[in-house]
Amino acid sequence: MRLWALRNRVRELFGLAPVPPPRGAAVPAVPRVRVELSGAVPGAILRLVPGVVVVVVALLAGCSGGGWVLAGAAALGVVFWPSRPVAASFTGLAAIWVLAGGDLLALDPVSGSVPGVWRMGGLMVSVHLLLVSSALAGHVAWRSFVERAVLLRLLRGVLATQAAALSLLVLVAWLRAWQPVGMEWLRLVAVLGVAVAVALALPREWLVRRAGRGDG
Amino acid sequence: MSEGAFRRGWGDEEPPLAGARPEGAGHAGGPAGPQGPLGRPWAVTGSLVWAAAAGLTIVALGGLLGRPDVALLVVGPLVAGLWGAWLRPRGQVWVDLVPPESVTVGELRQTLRLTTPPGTSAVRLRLSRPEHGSTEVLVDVPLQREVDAVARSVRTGPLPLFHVEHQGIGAGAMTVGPHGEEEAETVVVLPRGRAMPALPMPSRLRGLTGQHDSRRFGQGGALRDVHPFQPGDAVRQVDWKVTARRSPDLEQLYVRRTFALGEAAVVLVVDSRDDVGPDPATWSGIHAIRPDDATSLDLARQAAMTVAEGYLAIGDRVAVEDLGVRRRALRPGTGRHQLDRLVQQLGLLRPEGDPPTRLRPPRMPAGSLVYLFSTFLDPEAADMARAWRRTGLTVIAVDVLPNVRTRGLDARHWLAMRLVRVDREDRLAELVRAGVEVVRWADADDTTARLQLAARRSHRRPGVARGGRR
Repeated sequence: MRLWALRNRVRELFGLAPVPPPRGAAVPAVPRVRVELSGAVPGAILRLVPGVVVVVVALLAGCSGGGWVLAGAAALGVVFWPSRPVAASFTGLAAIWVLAGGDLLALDPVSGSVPGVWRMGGLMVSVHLLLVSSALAGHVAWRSFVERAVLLRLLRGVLATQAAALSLLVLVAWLRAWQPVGMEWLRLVAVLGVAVAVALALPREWLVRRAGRGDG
Repeated sequence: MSEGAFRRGWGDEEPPLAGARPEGAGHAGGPAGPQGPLGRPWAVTGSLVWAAAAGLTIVALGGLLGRPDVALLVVGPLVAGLWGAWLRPRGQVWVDLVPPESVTVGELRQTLRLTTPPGTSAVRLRLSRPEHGSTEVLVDVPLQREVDAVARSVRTGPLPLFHVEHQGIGAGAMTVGPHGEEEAETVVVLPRGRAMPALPMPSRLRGLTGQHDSRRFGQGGALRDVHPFQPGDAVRQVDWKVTARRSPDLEQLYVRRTFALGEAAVVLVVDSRDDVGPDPATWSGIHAIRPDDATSLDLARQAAMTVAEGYLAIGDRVAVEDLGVRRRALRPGTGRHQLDRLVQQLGLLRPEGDPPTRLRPPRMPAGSLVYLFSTFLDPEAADMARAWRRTGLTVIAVDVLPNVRTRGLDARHWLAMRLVRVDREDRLAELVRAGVEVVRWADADDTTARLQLAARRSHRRPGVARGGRR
């Protein structure tokens, strides 16, 4: 402050206008509206979670070489643009890596077990977490807060679904161990299952042409 | 923040499928949709559509290629997503803003009562105030819940509470409900005075009742003198002891004469024409004043409240004049009800439009004590104070300009600030020369000391015998 006053005195001697003080009392940040929540997680952390999960999925899916560039780009994309279909696209990419990397549920003829079942389980959970966390991140701003109960509710949903999915995984692994050949009929069951699921789950209004639609 | 930027992220960053979004989205409180009293099902987000598309493709691919590992990769999210889409919540999230019972200076608080349809995972809330900006939260609402929103603010007067935008989020964060808005309610934050040990008295007391001893003879006051009985004196005023001592033969009776009582008339003139904060960059009105910065009108309200409480507590009459809006005048009065009226009056003060120039200062009751609360950024208030002083009134000018913060000013702002400051200091110096007591309210200690000094001086004046009986 003394230097500023001296500088202004010198400027005054030469007929120059004084300069504003360089610093004043420190001004704290503007207080924000606060919502009283029972345990809140900063939105910035939740926005970073899908990026981390992308790396985990890439690791479990057997990503290597140039694939890591794609994984890195997907991690950045899902962090900064979670509402874009980055997570779904990366899931497709991970499926291609799994497809190219050999059967994870292949039977080990020596031990008679399926050694890739743990990795497969981790991959299933990770992919589900990636899709849910990126969907959640699409609703979360960097400076927002998310109540812990919301996260627990979403996690409960993921775990409940994964319990069924992992049971299916164990069933497949058991079938592989019990009868490693002659499972071609399962393909038909899978395709039929998908068709039935689509027919049941898709909202009816997506399939019904609306009267008057396209008039404008 | 522009309106477009403000709205970004509320449903439009994830465009739902055409025809899937309920009609009337964006307007809470609308009637139920045509699909029944529960309303339309919530919209499916792009995340779910893309995830379902990728999942179905991968499952089909795995099934056709005989790779159960590939198919199982997305079975979980696919089932969860389709299940969530099938059991989408219907209707809308209701947000009721519960009016606060009382609002105190320092904290604005409001309760939000949230009601959600079954199947809601979370409710996305965006609460905003002009001074605080906006805050977003995702809250868990198991059908019904109350959430408190709090904002720190030292401001008084009419203040808007929270503008609330809300949107429900369905299972897996992959469906969203209609976006609704609730307009902010306005509350009046009443000012609170601060402790003031002594206040000056006017040059003359009024009336024959009150709490102060005047210089006139009358009833109720302290002993003035003992005087020979005159026609018109009441017999009960005869002091028999003095009479016996001075006139043993009862040739002359002596009576005790007392001072009359009186009350002070105080007029609080509040200059509500401008409301400026400590940061000169906000004086243009473009930028919002920080909520933790008391403005000049906040200080004026507090100062007027302090003075009014002090005088009304000892039975004096207090009136309010507004330099900005003439219809806001409050007639002189006394007592608790007058204090209530005065608090409301002060709470509602705010600048209104372009105030007309007053050709003459407001007329003041003779012998009243005038407090003028102003920033003195323009000469009008100072001119009036001098005019009142010329008519013999005691005038106390309370400078309510906050301590100006110069941090962050650029050279032009700084130069403008210096010019304003020079003008203002000249104006205040002229007031002092005209005999107006000037106190600066932002400096609490100095204000207290000056008012105490003025109180001591006023009690020595011939018009007032001694201070009020507190």
